[in-house]
Amino acid sequence: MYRLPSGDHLLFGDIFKAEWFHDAWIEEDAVLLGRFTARGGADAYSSSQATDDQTFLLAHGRVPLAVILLNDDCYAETVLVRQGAGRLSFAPVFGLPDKPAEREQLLKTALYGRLPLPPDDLFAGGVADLTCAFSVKVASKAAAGPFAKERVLSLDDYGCAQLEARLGAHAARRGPLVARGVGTKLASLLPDEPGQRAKRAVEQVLSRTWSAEGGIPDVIDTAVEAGTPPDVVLADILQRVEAIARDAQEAATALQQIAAEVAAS
Amino acid sequence: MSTLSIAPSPRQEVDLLCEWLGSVSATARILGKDARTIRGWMNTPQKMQRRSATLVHAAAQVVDRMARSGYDPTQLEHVLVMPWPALKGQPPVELIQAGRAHEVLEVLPQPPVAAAVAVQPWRLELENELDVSLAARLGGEGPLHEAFLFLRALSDAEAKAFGYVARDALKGSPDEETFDAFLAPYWARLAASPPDRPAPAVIELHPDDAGADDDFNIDDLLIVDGGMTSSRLRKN
Repeated sequence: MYRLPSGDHLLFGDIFKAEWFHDAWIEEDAVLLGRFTARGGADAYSSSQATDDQTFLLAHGRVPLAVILLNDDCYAETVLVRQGAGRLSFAPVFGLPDKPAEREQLLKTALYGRLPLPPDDLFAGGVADLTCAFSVKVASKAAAGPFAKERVLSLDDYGCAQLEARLGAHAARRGPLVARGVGTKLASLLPDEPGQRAKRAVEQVLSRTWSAEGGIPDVIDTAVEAGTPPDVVLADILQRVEAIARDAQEAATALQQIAAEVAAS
Repeated sequence: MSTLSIAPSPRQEVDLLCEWLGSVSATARILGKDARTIRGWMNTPQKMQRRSATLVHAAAQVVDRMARSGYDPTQLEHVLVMPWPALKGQPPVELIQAGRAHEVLEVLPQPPVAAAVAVQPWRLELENELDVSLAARLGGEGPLHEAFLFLRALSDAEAKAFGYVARDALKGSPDEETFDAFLAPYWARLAASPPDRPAPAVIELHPDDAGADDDFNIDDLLIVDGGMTSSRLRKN
């Protein structure tokens, strides 16, 4: 699930810890603030001091265990290195409760907006709450260094796939997590054995298209950047499209058979 | 030596009397009360009766005026119990206890510095903010004023001591900048020992965390053709 960070570039799913990361949100008491020097020289903020050229705002917040990067690798590089401007999106990671039953429940949560992060030798464990995602403004290229310094952990391929699935389900109701959910719902509409076959068929076709949606653009983008010969690119794409067709045909056959069985019963 | 700010509470006046006169016992003697009564006021000032609060206030005004008029602070109790020619041979303590403290105040000299500074709006404002902040810090009543936020970094005893010192500093500051300079070390103290960062939050259980399926493992759906679901996210 985890691996130690390497290289300077930030990656999707990288985990950070820093004192200035907060799970921040606004409520109805949000108001613009202005900074001023209080008596004795301390920095202070007041709504009465708000000006057009300041962007301070009264918000609420709490301290997360860590935060996890939700942007893809290329976008993070664009913001931090190429442009030196923009915002990066993070989700706060919160600690697991002490009660074993609650910990177990959270580590198996089916909620789309929560990514369980199991305890490991490298990490104490927690839950990334995608519903509380927030952004951090990057004001200059110089910000890239501090970000990399505050990264404590990266997700391995398996961890990234889990995060992709949760994020796709939460943001767009797509992907393998949704496939599992709707497959289970479909099975509940049918008798036991045909229900399980229908579930498998739906899960198969949805997870295949999910894979191809990410994989085919990646093949093309990578080929353009790397100068891959066109015949190699086309062969790769074709292989993935054929896999979609094969899985879709198998699912269609299974569903036709199940439909016939149900009609006959 | 501390002096009175505007509108001190009876409890604050008892504290100041004890400081000026050197002890609870000496304060009790000047007020004509038992030392246990004084301690009772200090512990539960809300139970102090109006007549007692008036007596404390009158005594505090007299002693405050004496302290700011050059009387030896170590001899205040002794001076108060001695007969004064200006009072026709009566000791001030008798007049205070008889509700005639104003007669004592009439014969005491006006402290020139105090009279001059009393009309400075910034000083009055700061004295008020100091009282509010000390009440918040020591009594848990309301928020600290921004000018005295550093009280968070002080212990109870330090905050109490700061109150006495700050009142003296306010009286002796000719302008706001001088008083700000007096506060600077306290702000540095706060900067050097910021409040502890709260512990990281623990995620709360959501009713839907149980899910429709007890095992919501999707590992089998992530593995396609021997590899993970692939996307641009895994470019590197």
